[in-house]
Amino acid sequence: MAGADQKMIRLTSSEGTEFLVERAVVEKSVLLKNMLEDVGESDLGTIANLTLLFFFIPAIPLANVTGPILTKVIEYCTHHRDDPVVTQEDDGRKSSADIDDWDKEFCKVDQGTLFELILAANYLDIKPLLDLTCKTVANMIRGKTPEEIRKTFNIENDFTPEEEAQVKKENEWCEER
Amino acid sequence: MSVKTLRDINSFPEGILLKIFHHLRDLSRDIASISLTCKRWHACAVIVNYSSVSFNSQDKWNTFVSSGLLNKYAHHIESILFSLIDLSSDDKELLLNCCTSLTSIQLLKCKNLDSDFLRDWVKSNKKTLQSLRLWGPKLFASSVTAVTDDFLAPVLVHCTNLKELRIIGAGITDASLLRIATSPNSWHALEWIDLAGCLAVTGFGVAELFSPGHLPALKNLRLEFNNKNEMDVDFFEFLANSFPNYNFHIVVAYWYYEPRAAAKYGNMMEQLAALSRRKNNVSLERRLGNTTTEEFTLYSANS
Repeated sequence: MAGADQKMIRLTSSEGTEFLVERAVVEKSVLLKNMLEDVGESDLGTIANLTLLFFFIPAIPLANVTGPILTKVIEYCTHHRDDPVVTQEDDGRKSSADIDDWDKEFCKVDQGTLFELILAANYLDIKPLLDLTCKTVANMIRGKTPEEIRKTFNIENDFTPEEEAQVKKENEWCEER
Repeated sequence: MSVKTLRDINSFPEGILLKIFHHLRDLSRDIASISLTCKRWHACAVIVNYSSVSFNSQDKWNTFVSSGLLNKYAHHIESILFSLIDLSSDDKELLLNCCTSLTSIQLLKCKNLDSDFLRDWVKSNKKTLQSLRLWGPKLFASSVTAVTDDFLAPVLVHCTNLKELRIIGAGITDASLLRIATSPNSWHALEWIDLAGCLAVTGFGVAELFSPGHLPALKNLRLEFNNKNEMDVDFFEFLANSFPNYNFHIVVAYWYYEPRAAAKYGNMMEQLAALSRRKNNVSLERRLGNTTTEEFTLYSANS
């Protein structure tokens, strides 16, 4: 019964896997919301019989998002479907510690997946997901030394000793606050 | 197109790295570590670090200038705050030359400010400047440059694009408010006016700000309770009723009343509190001692 007259959207991942998602969930993505508005209501139809109408629902191809990542994104948007839209103001002012339990659990993924999620959230323009994933990476940096950071993210130190000394000198000023 | 399974953090565009580092921007140690990680992160850390700078000790400012950091990174600075800084004529020259695309200028109780410098500086930032905050000396700190009508007049000419104007603890009178309200170039974007601690301003001056056709974007006023100048409970009630689309932030300083009439203060506070409960466009800010919480935060950063 649930969602018998819920408008559905088909999303296609980069490998061609199809996902049938409620429009309200899809609209958490500003990119897709704008796309759907451009297409207009009439083209999308209402689902009465899922099997029958499946192939008449237009699909939106997402060439930049893989199936596993799209699954995660849909999971996030479904959980947060009723959240109020956050305003542009004041972003980042909140402390990075205030991630709720569900979100924290959601972000317990390997680094590669986390990075893919960031790129997907950025591409699909889902601000709260982008904030959450960026905060999670910020928390991985917090309190670490440069060497520990490089190890964590597999980054090569490309400074010459002179350059490094220069940066250290400049940092003295910043740390004085 | 092949699908990479593990992405390198440095394959992120700069915007995303900045977004990540932004969450750590209040922690100088973390930003310092980021800047030492690799060249690309250093470039990002510089942007995070220098987009908003505040100088609340003379030493910090002097070092910033003498080590060449101002010259090197001035183009990244969007927001600049000086608190209790004595600005030499060389400093002013440098600021005029280097910092010309600022969105926010804050000069809190600075020394040796002069009207000509501030006029020129505001003028050269006119296109980008959204917020100007000036604190006068209030009552005690006598070496601090006084912010008077004459000081402000030439500056205001170039302020017509501002969103936020905060003039606090200044000796300005209604003349300055009249200048804003009747300026030939309408202040089309101005949303915020803060006049806390401007004890020479009266209710009549404040009323000018509501002249029809002027200040079309104005939404927020922060005013100090001052019953000697008709800035009393009746006046705030009148404002709240007459202008329901505006928010009124009333600052009440306990220390004015404490020695003389604690009972009178209590009664007045009650009336104001009742007003703020009755009208949802009125909020109350108690100032205990010299400073409000916000002012205290700004100050405590000094030490």
